[in-house]
Amino acid sequence: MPPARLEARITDALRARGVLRPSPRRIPLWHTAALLAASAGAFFLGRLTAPSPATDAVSTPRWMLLLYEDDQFEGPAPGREADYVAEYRRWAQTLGRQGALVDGAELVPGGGWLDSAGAELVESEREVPGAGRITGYFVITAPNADSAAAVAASSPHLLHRGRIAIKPLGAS
Amino acid sequence: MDQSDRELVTRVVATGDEAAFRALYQRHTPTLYRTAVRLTDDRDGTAEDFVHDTWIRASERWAEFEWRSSLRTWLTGILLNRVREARRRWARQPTDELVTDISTDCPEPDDRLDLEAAVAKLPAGYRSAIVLHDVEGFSHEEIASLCSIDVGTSKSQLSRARRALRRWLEPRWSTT
Repeated sequence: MPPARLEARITDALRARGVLRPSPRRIPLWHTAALLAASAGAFFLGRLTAPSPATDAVSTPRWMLLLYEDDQFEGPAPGREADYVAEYRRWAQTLGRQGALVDGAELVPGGGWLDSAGAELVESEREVPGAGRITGYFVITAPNADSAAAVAASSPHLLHRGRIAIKPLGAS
Repeated sequence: MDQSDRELVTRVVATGDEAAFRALYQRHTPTLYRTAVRLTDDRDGTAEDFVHDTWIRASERWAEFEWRSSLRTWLTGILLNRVREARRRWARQPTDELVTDISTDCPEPDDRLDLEAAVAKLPAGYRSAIVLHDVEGFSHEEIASLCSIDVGTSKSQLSRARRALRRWLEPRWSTT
């Protein structure tokens, strides 16, 4: 068995490097459940109302994860849409429990974009030429870009061959 | 219910959650430490340092881990790299490559000889193969990836290691 002192030695080193911090204040489970229940249908069936970020997370940098789908995206087979909903919801709920999720929602079909030629709404399924459709977003907290990327990498979206743009958010 | 490695790593990365890290530590460190001891004889008490460095390096590189292998395999890969670096420093073995002549490294079949001691006498490549495959349960494919060798080389090293152990241990076992 490893020496008992080893665990403290490693955690001390990681705290000194800023990798570990005291565990964030947890949102009571009933609170999370109530908020999620109130979020009509949750993610992919409407807007995901995340629990308020923990106190520690408020001062942590925020990041926008933009979920793209293009021709490579492996969407659900007919009749299996609910599995995708559940998969993304579980991931989002995990982040929510950690206090790392600020907001998130599916971007449903409709709307469009404005170009510099005028203010007329142009409807398009390909909101960003060459990049595919933006079909959802999450706002998360993470201490740095690598951490935000690691969170994004844990998303089921990449497993389905979608792409995620990661952008830091300025102060609101 | 236990959380998955992926969920725990996400918590560590996203919020620096120390409790999540300790759960990962307690889940994987016994194997890492055991492997380090078996691969190095805990020379100069360095098995502890190897495990320490493995976790530090892993924590610096979470973003590079793409979950194409298990976390255990990835951590073991970091550990093996550390051990290889140390071996080069110690100049006991120039590399972890296949060693074909082990005749000069045979232990004497005295009373102290046992399986652990015999494994400790194996050349580095053989020892890695038998510790990772027979003790820790890694597949040849995983060992090939971890040691940057072919699957065939891993199988060959394991076969030769087992033959060597059998040759060393049979005289002792046949008299007991």
